Amino acid sequence: MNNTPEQVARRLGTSRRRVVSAARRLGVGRIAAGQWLFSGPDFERLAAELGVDVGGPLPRAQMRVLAELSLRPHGLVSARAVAVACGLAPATASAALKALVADGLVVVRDAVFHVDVLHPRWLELRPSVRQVRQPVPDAEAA
Amino acid sequence: MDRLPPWLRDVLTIEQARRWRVLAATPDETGERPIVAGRSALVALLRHRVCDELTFAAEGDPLLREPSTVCGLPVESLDDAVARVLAALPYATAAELPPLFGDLAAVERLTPLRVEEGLILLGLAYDHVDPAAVVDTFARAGDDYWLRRLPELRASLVNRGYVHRTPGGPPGARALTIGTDGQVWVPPHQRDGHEVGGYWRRR
Repeated sequence: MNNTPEQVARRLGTSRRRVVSAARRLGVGRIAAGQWLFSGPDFERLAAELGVDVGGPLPRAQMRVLAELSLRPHGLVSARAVAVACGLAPATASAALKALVADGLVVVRDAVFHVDVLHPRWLELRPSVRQVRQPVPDAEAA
Repeated sequence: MDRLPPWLRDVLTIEQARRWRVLAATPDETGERPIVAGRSALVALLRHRVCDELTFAAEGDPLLREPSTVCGLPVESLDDAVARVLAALPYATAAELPPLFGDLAAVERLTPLRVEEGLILLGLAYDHVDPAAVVDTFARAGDDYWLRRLPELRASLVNRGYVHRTPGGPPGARALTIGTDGQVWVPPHQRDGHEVGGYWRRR
């Protein structure tokens, strides 16, 4: 089944512009009658490149950080490690961590960042957080 | 003794259904009832198989969340049940492992909870159990699902770097009920052409 850029953008939680830009960069999708169309494998390539963000009560970067930390039993050791794991710019990861620590959703134990799974909001956030997919780094994709 | 609802009778053997009714009807001298725990709790929460042996929390067992009440008996939360099952893995015999892995696979199939997060819960409830030892037991699972997940589980124990994870389907192909008066998991779906993420709602 073919998807339009708008449908792909909606499923990935991003903009049409980013989808088309990534499609040009990766060489995926085809243009039929002046309209971009993406097959299932095209969608998977785009999802790996851009990640999957879901609408949630928190900003995109914070959702990504929570998604990653909730799958790390030993936490992540620094803001830079969070940035690498989540495919975020270091400054974005750092700002997201700062906000999450202020909210109490992330705690620092022995200089390592951990998600607080006993936070009162965690059960509400978990289903949305679990749908987040981190973008695959270029080195991994190659 | 009230009759159990059909859905609970369907997931308990006749003997265990009778035991449930008796325990629900007869609190101890302090008015308390035993807390259904571990794999039995998973059956009451997920309804994914028939349970032929009820297990209960022992006095002083750690509980991370409040139990919910199911047909007169307190049932520990999904998070507590998963932590308890994970804590049992390193001490389980080869014969005991397959049903434990089967229940954990059902948790991942039906709920947004993943084993990696279960290991975080394990650290909070049973800090004497080594998460690496728990993950190593998954190498003995012998089924495709856990063999596929094993590299992800191992990589997740490292506290830096990117972890490649195979994208899974949306959790909850069917509605999941937590407790008799609890919440229902609504899987991700489309509404008026818009993607709606999964969420919990009151029944």
